[in-house]
Amino acid sequence: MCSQPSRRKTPQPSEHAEAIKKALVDVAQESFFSYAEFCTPERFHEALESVRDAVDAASPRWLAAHVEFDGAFAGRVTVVVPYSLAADMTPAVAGLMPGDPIDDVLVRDATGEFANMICGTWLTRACVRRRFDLAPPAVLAVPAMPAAGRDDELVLINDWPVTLAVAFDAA
Amino acid sequence: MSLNILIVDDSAMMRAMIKRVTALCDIPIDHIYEAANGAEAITVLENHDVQAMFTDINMPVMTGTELLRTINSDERWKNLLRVIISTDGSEARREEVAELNVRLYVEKPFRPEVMRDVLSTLSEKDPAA
Repeated sequence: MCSQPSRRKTPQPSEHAEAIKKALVDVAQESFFSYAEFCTPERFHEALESVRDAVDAASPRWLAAHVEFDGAFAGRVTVVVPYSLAADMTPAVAGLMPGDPIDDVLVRDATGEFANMICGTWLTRACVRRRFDLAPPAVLAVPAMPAAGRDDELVLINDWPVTLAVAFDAA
Repeated sequence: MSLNILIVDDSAMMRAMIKRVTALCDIPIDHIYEAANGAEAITVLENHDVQAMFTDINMPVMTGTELLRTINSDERWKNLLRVIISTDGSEARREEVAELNVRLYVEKPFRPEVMRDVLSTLSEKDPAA
């Protein structure tokens, strides 16, 4: 799946789709104690409608986490999650006890680490002989979920709609 | 003898998680210090007696690899037990840090029991424990 060390090429997102989807499922289950399943656009939009009130009630409504990577190839992984889901997952992964304070900084940090773990797990499995450098995650609040791109993956995590995308830089 | 532990990770969430899991293990621990990057870790090491360090690799300011190189070049920390906790489990990265006296390499994501096993191993192998 990786090019030879002396060569650098730009992969197509479809080449890595299954591997990065598997990485998301494993990270969600093993570290975030959450259930993730990929779904059809129809099911995704149904889920989006069913949680719209809860999403609208949160502020910010969505968090977009980006992790840039550079090695045999370069690009970025982006995960967009409802803020409410991120806030639900944070206490479990951080090992907080019921009643422990949870603030916005910790929620954003956990969301960035979620994207970081997905990216690192995927690259390690896809290119085990190659070293990649990952930039610290960037987490942005967004008012609405961006329109899904052609290669974006649609996933439900604990029945909340989430998108996963990988983009590659031109070699 | 109880261990003093240093957790080095730019993610506050990861530090909290490792700290929590560590506290749940049946290992005598005196104090857990935290640092958000390699430079902060050096400051902690210069000011406290630390027996074991868990460090991430990809961090701003000073990376885990740079931190390990600095530690390796200083006699004061020759007995410090070094454990990597990183999403990067590539062979290339493992080979890079293998020369830096790293005792164990833990890949994220990991289950809590993995950390318990790591601490047990460190406690058994630490001649001062």
